[in-house]
Amino acid sequence: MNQLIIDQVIDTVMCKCGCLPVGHHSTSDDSTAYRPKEEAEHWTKYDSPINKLRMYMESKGLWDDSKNAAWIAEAKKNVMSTFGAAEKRPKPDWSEMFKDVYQKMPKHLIEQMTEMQKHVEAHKDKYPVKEYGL
Amino acid sequence: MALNKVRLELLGRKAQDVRILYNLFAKRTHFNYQPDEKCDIPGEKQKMNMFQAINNAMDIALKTDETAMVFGEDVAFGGVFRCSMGLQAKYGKDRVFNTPLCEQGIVGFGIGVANVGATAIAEIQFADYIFPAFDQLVNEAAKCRYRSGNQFNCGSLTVRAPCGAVGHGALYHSQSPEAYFAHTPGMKVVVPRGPIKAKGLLLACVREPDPCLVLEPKTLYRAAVEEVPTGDYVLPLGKADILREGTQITLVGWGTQIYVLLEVAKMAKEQFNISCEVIDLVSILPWDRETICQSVKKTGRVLIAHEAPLTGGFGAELAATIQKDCFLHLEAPVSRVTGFDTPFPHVFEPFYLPDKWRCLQGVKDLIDY
Repeated sequence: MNQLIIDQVIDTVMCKCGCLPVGHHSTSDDSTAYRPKEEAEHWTKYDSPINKLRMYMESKGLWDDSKNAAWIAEAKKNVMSTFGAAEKRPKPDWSEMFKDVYQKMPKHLIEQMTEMQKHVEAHKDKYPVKEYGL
Repeated sequence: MALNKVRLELLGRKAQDVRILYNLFAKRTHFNYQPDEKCDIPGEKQKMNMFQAINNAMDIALKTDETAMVFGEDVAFGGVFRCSMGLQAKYGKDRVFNTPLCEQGIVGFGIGVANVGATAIAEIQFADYIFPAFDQLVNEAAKCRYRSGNQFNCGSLTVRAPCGAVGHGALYHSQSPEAYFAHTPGMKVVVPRGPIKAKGLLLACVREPDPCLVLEPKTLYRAAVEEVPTGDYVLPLGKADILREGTQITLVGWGTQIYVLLEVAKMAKEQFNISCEVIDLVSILPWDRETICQSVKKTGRVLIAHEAPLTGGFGAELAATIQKDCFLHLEAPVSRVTGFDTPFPHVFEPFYLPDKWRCLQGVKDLIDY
């Protein structure tokens, strides 16, 4: 029936795209204030493209529960190890704070940066310089 | 914030320990809060932090003024900083309600409410988000009385917004926009330093016959705790507070910076035997020229400190007026220790803020001038 309509009636197609947040925007948000919890749950269960892809792959024999569990474990490991590696790196040199305000650093910013560099040098023990590498 | 939650979940059992450790480190601040030493307001007092005091002020405003309403993003459930907790349950959905995510609309609507004589207490969720409402504030609210030859006004509009550094706020959750609004005749701007001031100033603003902006330093919502009078009281707008008397240098600030300056005054006395007078400006517009200049004429030296960037910061206005009124009394140029002329940074915050070391150095430089 739908195919019939497409062949006989429609030569213009309108695509309506929407997005549905599945979780809260932030820890201070309560997304159930905007839509009922059931709506998001229903969508996640029946309309989520990710789930649909999984079901398709399972129907083709390309995926199963054990593959899923293994992938989740590997992904967790990847995230945590990347997190750990990133955390070990020092933060950028703190004088980066003065860069990229403009394309070319104006005189007054060079002045402020130089003054702060002198100040930090004179009070090194008061600032977390060790956390900021080069 | 969300990424940290993911991380803690993945860590499983260790999450609790990590959470506790994280909080210990996360609580390091660049200032040391101290409550007001005395409070001249009589009557019963109750221990409150700043968001509780603000909540109390709005409760009293809603109770004593039947036209009053409180609105903004997420205020219905209590607000992202808990300032409006319990108010909707107490006063109803037609007096305490959420607005769409539209700051221009929040203020525009507030102006309309005030135009017809009702009391509007509008919340902007973060001062960093106030700019879509800038036109409404500057071109409508501030000019309403003037352009109508006093036939109309929106004096019963009060806008509140959390401002200032909070340790991890970065570009869009740390700004102090007071200078933009100080430049707007027709508006009044105040910055409370703690619960007692916050409650009294907010009630004063709500009842003030001119549109007011209250910039509340967000890092003080929980950190600042005082014995707050439980009754209905107002504190004067346009009046600065001398928090510590001194003879050699006047230190001027507002909001969180006050606690940095109080500590600097203590260090200056202990380490160098320098006597500093510390003044909380409290009111940005109008500002207490008399108190500041009287102090500077006495000490001969002044250091102004604020988180907002140097160029065009409110310290510039203070400096210009001070040098005019006190020129012959000055022993040294007016000094400003402020945030740098960059957007408010994320991980570089410890190097950006006008901390006690920069301020103490400023004090020494003034004495040695």
